[in-house]
Amino acid sequence: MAAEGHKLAIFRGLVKFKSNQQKIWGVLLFLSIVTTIEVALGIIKPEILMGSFLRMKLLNWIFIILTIVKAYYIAWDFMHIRDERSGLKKFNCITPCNFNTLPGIHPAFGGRLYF
Amino acid sequence: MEVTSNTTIEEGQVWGGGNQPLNASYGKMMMWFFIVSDALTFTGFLVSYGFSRFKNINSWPIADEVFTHFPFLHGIDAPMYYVALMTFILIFSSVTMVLAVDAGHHMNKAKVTFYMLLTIIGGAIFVGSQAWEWKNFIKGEYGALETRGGQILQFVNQETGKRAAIQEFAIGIPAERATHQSSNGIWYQSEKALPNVSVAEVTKGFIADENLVIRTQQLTEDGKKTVLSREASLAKINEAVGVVEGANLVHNEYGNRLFADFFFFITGFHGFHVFSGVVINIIIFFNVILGTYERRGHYEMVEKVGLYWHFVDLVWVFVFTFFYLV
Repeated sequence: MAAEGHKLAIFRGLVKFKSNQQKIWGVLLFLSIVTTIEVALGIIKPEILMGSFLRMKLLNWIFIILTIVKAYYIAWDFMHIRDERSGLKKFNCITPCNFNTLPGIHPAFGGRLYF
Repeated sequence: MEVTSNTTIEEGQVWGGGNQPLNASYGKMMMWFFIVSDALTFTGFLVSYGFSRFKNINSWPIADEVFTHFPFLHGIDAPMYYVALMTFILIFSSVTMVLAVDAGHHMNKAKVTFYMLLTIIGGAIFVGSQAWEWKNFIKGEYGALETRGGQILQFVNQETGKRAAIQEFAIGIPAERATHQSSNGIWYQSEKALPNVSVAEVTKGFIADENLVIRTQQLTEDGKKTVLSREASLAKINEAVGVVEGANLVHNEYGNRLFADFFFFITGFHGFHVFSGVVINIIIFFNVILGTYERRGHYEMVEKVGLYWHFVDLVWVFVFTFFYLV
């Protein structure tokens, strides 16, 4: 549980940090960039992304995917799931995910994704 | 303190305590249990929001038109800028929290204190910002008329294409209409403060100004709200039965009243989490100053509240997307 126990690489080892503090600032930078992209897209709303893909606007797909990417880095690096054992990892992540996707595909809700 | 393998431990030892399942301490494990169940609650909220929005997409307000305020910039249309700023503040306070946890691992009391303080300040700014958002949302901006069927009729100036505020174009009619007080009649009957203008006054002002037309909730093909012609507007305004200014749980000048309900419940529930997170952080902050964890030999308590604090940030990332962006 000491600081040495942290895994210091993100993006599947593409970026490696020297210390845990450095990794935190790196992740902050990444989250800020993603948020900035989201806000910019939300304000500009490019015409090219207004097309529909799988019953949902392309722009909305981008928003949702970027959100999940952000959630991943918050959970993995700020909540240190990256350093936890795989049993805890699975329990924490899979339980909410199942409930998240279930209503979207359930026939009672029209069997399609909302929005 | 890496436990190499749990499988080699004798059964007696496993059930006799001293073994940490999944290599997480009791307190951390319980915090994770809480977070997962809380995540399910928020999931329920967001899924029901999505469902209601899908079912009522035609009367759903466009978030960019609802949240347009920025502090000290009056009358400037600034969609989303402030929420974006709030998001950055919350992410930053998450970062200071994780830095505090890291300093705790190094048993650096001064640094833990400093970063905890920054986290508390960030959280307080966020809660304050949310209160300000609520204030603007409740107060409303332009006002609207509501029909008997619950449709919202908003007003647009044909020439400029800008929204028109009912306060500005309504023509006053001298009339006696006092707020009914419970002291003046049956004791259990009273009513809320009356709107500043009546339906008749708005209608009169609307007829007098040739440039005004009505904007309904109906979405057009390209995702904009339908604006009626002047003739259709004149016919439509007769259907109005009430004036709506701002939003509450029953009426909502921006559109579908469910939107306001979900706004209050989801951001309110999240704001309550941030508030309690700030309170817990303050308690831990004082414990750090008093040296409680220094004496205990580890700062795991900071780690546990850290988990909660990051979770609050995590939820906001989703609320931000589904409420403001999508």
